[in-house]
Amino acid sequence: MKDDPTIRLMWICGGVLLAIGAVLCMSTLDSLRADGATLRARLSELEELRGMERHASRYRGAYRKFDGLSARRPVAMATLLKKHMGGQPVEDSRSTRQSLVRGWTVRRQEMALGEVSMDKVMALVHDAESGRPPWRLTRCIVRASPGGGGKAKVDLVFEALDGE
Amino acid sequence: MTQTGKGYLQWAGTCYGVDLQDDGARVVSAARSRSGVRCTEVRDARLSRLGDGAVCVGGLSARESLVRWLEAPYSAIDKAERVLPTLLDIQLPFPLEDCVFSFLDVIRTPEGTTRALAVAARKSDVERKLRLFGDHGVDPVVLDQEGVALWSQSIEERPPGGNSSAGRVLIHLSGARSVLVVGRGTGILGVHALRAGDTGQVIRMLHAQLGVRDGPTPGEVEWFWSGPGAEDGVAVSEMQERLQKEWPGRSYVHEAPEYFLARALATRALRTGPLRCNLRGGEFTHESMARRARGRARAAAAVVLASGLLLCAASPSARLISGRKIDAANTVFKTTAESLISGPLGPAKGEDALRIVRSELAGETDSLEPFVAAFEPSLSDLLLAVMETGKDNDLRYEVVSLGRDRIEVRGTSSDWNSFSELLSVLGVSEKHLRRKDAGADERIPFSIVADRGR
Repeated sequence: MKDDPTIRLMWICGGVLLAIGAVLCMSTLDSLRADGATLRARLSELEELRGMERHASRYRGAYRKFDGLSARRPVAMATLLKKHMGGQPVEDSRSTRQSLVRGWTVRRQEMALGEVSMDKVMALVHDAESGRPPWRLTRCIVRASPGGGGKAKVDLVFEALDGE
Repeated sequence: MTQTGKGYLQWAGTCYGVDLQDDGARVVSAARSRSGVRCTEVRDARLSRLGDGAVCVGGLSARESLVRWLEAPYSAIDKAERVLPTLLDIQLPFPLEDCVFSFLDVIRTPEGTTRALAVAARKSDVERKLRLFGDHGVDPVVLDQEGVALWSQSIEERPPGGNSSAGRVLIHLSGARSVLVVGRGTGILGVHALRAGDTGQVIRMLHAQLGVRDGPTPGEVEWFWSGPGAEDGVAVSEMQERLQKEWPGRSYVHEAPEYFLARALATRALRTGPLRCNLRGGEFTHESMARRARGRARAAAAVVLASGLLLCAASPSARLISGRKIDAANTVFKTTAESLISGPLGPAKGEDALRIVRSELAGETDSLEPFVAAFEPSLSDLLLAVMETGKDNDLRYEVVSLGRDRIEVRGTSSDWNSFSELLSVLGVSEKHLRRKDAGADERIPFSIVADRGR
C-alpha cells in the first residue's frame, strides 16, 4: 500500500514533520524549563510586592482616616486639665512637636501631677483619648502617695496627631 | 500454546462460507452475534444470486495447498521469522517465488527453537481456484486453507475432553477432495489429501503422525467425521470399523456434516481464534481487502502527518503561551510596583525593582508610623485593668509604670498566690514575677518587670 504515491508522500511529509517537531519540542522543553524558572521567580517577587502593598496600604489607610477628619486639631490639654483637675497645679509640664507629612505634626505632652485621685486621672485619660483627633497615653508612672487615700503622684505622657 | 488471531473479515458483520463441491456449492450465511457466529445453511444456493456486495469466503483444498510444521533454531521469534521462508523453500517441491504462503502459530518451544505452521499454495493453483469461484459467480474475499479450517472448527464445535494429549483425527469425506487432519489435543499435526475410502492411507498417516511405535492404545484416538460423505452413516460405519481395528477410539460425526467446511470457512473469517489464514494475498488480494488496507495505510499516514503537524505547531504555541504568561506576570509586577512608588519604575526588573520599591516605602512608612500607632490598643485600657485587678486581688501598688517598651509594677500582696490575674492582664509570664517573704505587716512584697513588644 505504501506504493501509492499519495500515501508515500503523506508518510514522508509526516516523518519529516515528526522529526522537525521532535527537534522543536526538545528545544521548546529547554526553553519552557527556563521560562518556568523565570515565572516562578517573578511570582515570588510579585508575592513579596503584594506583601509590601499590604503593608503600605495599612499605613496609607491610617493616614487617610486622619486626613478625612473634619477637625484636625486635638483638644488643648490645658482645657482638659482644667476640666478634670480643677485648680490643682500641674507640677511639671512639657510640650514638644515633630513634623510628619503634609502639614501633620505629632505633639507630645508630658506632665507630672502630684497627689491626685486616680479616678480623676482615669477620667482625664478617657476624655483625652475620646477626642477627634485623639490624644493617646503613651507612658504613665503611678507612685502611691504615702498618705494613701486613693491618691498618687502620676506622670503622664500623651501624644496626638495635629493637622495644622 | 496456540496463538489466536483476528478473523480476516472482522470488519464485516456477515459473510458467506462457500464450499465448492463437484455436485454444487455448499453455502452458509454467517452473522456475528453476541454469543459468537450464527450460521444458516443456504440450500439450493445459486451463487450468482448472493449479490455483488456479498462477502464470500472460500478455501484451498489439501490438494491445492500444503501445510507443514517448520522449526527454526532460534528462540527469538523475529529472528526466526526471517529464516522461515528459507526453511519453507527447502521443503517445497517448487520455487517459493511461485507460491503464496503464510506462517500461522509462530511459537517458541521449551527447547529454545521456534516452530511455525506454514501454509502455502502455488500461485497457479490460487489462480485456478479463483477462476473456478469466478465461474460460479463468486469472488471470495478470503481464501482459507480447508484442512486448517476444518481442524479449528472441529475443535470449536467439539473441544477435546480431559486427555489433552489424546490423538484426534478428522476425516472430511468429500469425494476426491477428502481430507485427513491429524492432531493431538488442540494442536494440529498435519493435513493430508485423502483418496476416497482409502483406509490404508489413513492408517499409514496416523502411524507417521501420531508416532505410536508399540501400536495404538485404545481410547487414545478420537475420530471425527464431516463432509457430505459423512451423511452416509453406513459408509462411515464401514470405514470406522476398518480403522478401529488398528486405531480404536470413540467416533463422532459433526452436526450438519455436509455444511461443516462452509461453516468453518465463514466462522473463522468472522471470529478471532487460532490458526487464522488467508492465502489470497499479494497480487491476489481482493479489491475490498486492498481498499481497506489502503484506507488503513492512508489513515495511518494521515495520523503520522497530523501528529507531525501538531508537534510542529505545539512548540511555537507552547512558547507563545509561556511568553505571554511571563509578559502578564511582568505587567502585573510593574503595575503593582508603580502603584506603590511616586514615579515610574523605569527599566528596573525583579530584585532591582523590589529594592527601589522597598526603599521608597521605607521612607513613607516611617513618616506615617504615628498614624498607624494611633490605632493600636491604648495604654489607658491596660492602666485601668491593672487598677481593677489590684482592687479585686488586694494588691497595694507602690509603683505602676507602663510604657510602650517596658512595664514595671511594684507593691505588696496579702496572698502568695494572688498574681495570676495581674500577670495575665500584663501579658507576661511568671518568670518576671519576684516575691519576697512577708514583712512585719504580713504582706508579701512583689515586683514585676518586663519588656514588652509593641
